Amino acid sequence: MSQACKEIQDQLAGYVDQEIEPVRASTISQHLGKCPGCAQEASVQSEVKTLVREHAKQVPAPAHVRAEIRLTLERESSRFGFLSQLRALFQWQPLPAIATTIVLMALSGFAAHFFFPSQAILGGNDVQFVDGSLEGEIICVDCTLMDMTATPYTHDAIHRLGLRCKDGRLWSILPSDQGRELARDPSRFRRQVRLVGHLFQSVRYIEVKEFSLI
Amino acid sequence: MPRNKPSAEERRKKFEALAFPHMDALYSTALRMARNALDAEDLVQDVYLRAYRFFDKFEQGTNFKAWIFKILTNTFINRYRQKVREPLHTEFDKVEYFYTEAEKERDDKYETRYDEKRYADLFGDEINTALSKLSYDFRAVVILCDIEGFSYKEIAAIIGTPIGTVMSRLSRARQQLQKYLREYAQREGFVKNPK
Repeated sequence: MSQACKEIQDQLAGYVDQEIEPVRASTISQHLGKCPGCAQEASVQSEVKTLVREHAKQVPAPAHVRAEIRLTLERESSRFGFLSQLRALFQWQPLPAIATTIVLMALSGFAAHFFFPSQAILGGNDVQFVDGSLEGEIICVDCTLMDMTATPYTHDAIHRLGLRCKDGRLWSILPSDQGRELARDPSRFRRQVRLVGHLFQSVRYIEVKEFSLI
Repeated sequence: MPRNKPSAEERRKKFEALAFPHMDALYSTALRMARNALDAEDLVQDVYLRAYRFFDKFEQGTNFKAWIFKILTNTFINRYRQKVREPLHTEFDKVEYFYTEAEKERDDKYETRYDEKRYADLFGDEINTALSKLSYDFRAVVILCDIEGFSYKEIAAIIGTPIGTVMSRLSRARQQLQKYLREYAQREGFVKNPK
């Protein structure tokens, strides 16, 4: 292959995609009329382009990916909102703001124990759990709480999976690998299952290690 | 409190309106880059979070799809490419071995019906298999041009190379694809082996 052919063949994509200057394009046209090898390569370019376009379709993103992205952005946006409010506070009156923040932070440590015992315990050093198993129905914690309190509230994200045991108690499922796997298939919703894993009894969280339908 | 900036809520709504319509395109591309569904999921989620964090850097009125695809390729190269362990430039016969090993590893690791189905959707036919065997540099330009329909100028900005490089990579990538498809057709007996 001559040097000219090599150069032209590296530009053939641009030639068939019409992404090349008109002057250069007409030079290539002339060359293709004389050189069967390059003409052959030019038709390869357009054939392959058509094949790829027809056969390599977009694949829709799975529903749980959409839901997780939406949740991530919501979480990120509330973090952003809090930070920007804090910043505005500091611009306004630095000293009282610093003092207020310190007091609030100190208080929030105590408050967490009262209002969010689960986070305080699961996130701290004093994690206490027993290994065990639970049987019950897979439900959405949010939907069930709504039913129980009759609150007119709709959560537009995904269902938050939980387990309703036969004694009527609700358990939340921690997002461990198996917990996520459990949530992945919507057909498991409302089914009776047996979950094996770590039970955080005081806060009724289960970290699922194994699960099976019953 | 002064309200000269849009609220976090408004900012998020605006971002979602621009970014969510591209989710299928981003996911498909992520899947073709990472070549396995779990990495593709993580990658797309990463991309959305990063794009959201850098949303202030996006210049209103410019091409949002190209902007978020640039984040996708950068994230893939920085975080996932080492993990996927692929050679930079490849010839098909060399890749064959690497790829079957990688596939086997993947199947052992993520043996779920879900994953297989999704993978089959994408790589169910030979065009997709051929595409997945291209080196990343070649694969990226084919995906961006022939599947996502970006112009050369946009592709150059997305992958950070001159337009001439986009053109020569694309020319060679399509030649390689054709070579692979011809070999496949010969193996399957659709065309006769040239003597």
